[in-house]
Amino acid sequence: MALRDVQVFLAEYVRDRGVRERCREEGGLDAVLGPRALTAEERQLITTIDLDDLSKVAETVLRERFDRLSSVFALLFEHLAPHTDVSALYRRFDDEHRHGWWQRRREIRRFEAYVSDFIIREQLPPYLLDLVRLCAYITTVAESPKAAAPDHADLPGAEAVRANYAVRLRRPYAVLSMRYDVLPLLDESDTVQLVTTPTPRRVLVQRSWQEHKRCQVFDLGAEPLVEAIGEELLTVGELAGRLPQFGHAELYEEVAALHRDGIVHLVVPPELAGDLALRGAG
Amino acid sequence: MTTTSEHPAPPHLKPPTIGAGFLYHCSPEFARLYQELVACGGRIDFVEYLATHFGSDVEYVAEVNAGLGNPPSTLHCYEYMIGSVDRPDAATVAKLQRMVEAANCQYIGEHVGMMGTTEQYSGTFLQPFGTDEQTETFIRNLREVKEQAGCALTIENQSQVYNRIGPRSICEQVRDIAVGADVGILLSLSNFIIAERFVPMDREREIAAIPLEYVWQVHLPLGNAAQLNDPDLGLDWRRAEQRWANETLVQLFKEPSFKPVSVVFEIEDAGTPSHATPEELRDALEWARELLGEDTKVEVR
Repeated sequence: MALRDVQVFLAEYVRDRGVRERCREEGGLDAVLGPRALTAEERQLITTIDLDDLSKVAETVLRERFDRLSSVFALLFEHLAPHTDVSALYRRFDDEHRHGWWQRRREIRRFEAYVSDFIIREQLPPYLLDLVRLCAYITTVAESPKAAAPDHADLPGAEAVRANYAVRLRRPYAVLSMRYDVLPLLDESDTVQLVTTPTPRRVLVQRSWQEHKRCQVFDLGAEPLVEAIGEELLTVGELAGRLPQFGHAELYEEVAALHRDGIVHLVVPPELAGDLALRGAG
Repeated sequence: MTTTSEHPAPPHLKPPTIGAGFLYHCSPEFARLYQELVACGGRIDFVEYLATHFGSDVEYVAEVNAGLGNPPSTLHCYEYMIGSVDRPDAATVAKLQRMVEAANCQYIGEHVGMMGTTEQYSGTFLQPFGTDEQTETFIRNLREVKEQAGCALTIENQSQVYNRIGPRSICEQVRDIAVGADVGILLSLSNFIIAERFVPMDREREIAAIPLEYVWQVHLPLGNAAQLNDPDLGLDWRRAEQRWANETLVQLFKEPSFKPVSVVFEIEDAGTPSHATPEELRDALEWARELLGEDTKVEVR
């Protein structure tokens, strides 16, 4: 299994700054290779590697990992920047987590936990904790599998909303309770605006069914219809009873818009499904 | 050990010509690019997906492919980790098998790289040693993967990132693996260009080592022409590289033994800040079709 030890060494060199630094010391490479089960030939081959080049690979890997995290946590990084050196924070994360990032969602959860601990430990503004969660969920939900539609949902013949049609949010989605209202920050990424006043919010993060790997985010306090739909399979008539602030025509229009935008499934009663399927096919 | 410079004719059955396509990243930008390509009169014969984009949502590849009209596809992977002594777990293999089914996949393209071990991911396709043992590991793993994958396999030449270690250069190792495991070759001209950031390769010598009859597919970059030509961006070198790739492909097609079944343009990371325009992609696809030399309107399975 000596080749496996060669591969372990190469991977460790690329992923572990400590190993790189030890190898660059006088006699360091021999010391690092010493306890490994390598043949004499393999040791000799490893010593012929130009470590400057291999270190360049390591720097590339380090940068690419940061770029991938930045694509998820860019907004958080902007808001962390006034408080800490984000690059240094990332390097400490990389030093402590040298084995991962093949599994993207695991990597996101790993970083979410790491940076949340940091914010609490350093007593940074607590709205940042909500921002971490929001960033993490937006990507993990966007990359979660779509759940199958309920039976009799979205039939081609069911174009208009009817009182006895039921409505269900398309899945996947997550509902997050937050202490601070960080949603406006999504639209104000040019300026770093501190959020200092707690304003509890419930937020729905839903995978887009219309775009690759994107989410839509709702402040449920400002979207009573979306909040009312929830998990239960409610008919439009039932929603009308629960939401007296909506006129009936307005409610039907709102449900139709949610359906058109791919946010909800529209489920027809099983007794009507056959007729509607036929009409759609015609 | 299979070491051959007088490589035999491949015993494998190369598929019929598939045509020209591009590497489709699963993002809204690529969805728009495809729509605009069709709107300006362009078409794809097939499409290439990155398996990693569907790692957490395997079934989505079927939906994406349906959105493109269910063309044949190829999957670009590293998940079979063909250079590693450790093997992928059963769940990973099952996902890849399902992707092949769901995406109308004609063959998989795996990197001739080393991904580390089960516990220690290298973070990149690390350049393998050119030793007999490492080469045999590739061959053994590929023979195993051929039984699992549910479709044919090709292997892609990597960029050189450090000095040559062992008796084989990058493409000499690709040759010996392809012949030894009897798999096709994905000749990446892009990777010769990427190597310039690390260890420039002797391109002529390396391409000469490739058994051309084994080449199934070619990768080449397609950057945004306006930006390649913009003096303020200083991308002259990149424009020259793209020209080199195009000219090399034309030269290769003059070799009787060079009969790839597909040409894939890489739009992302093609050296310009913006993607190629839909019109540039349309024209590039047409150019590749002409090189492939036949009407490649394929029947969708």
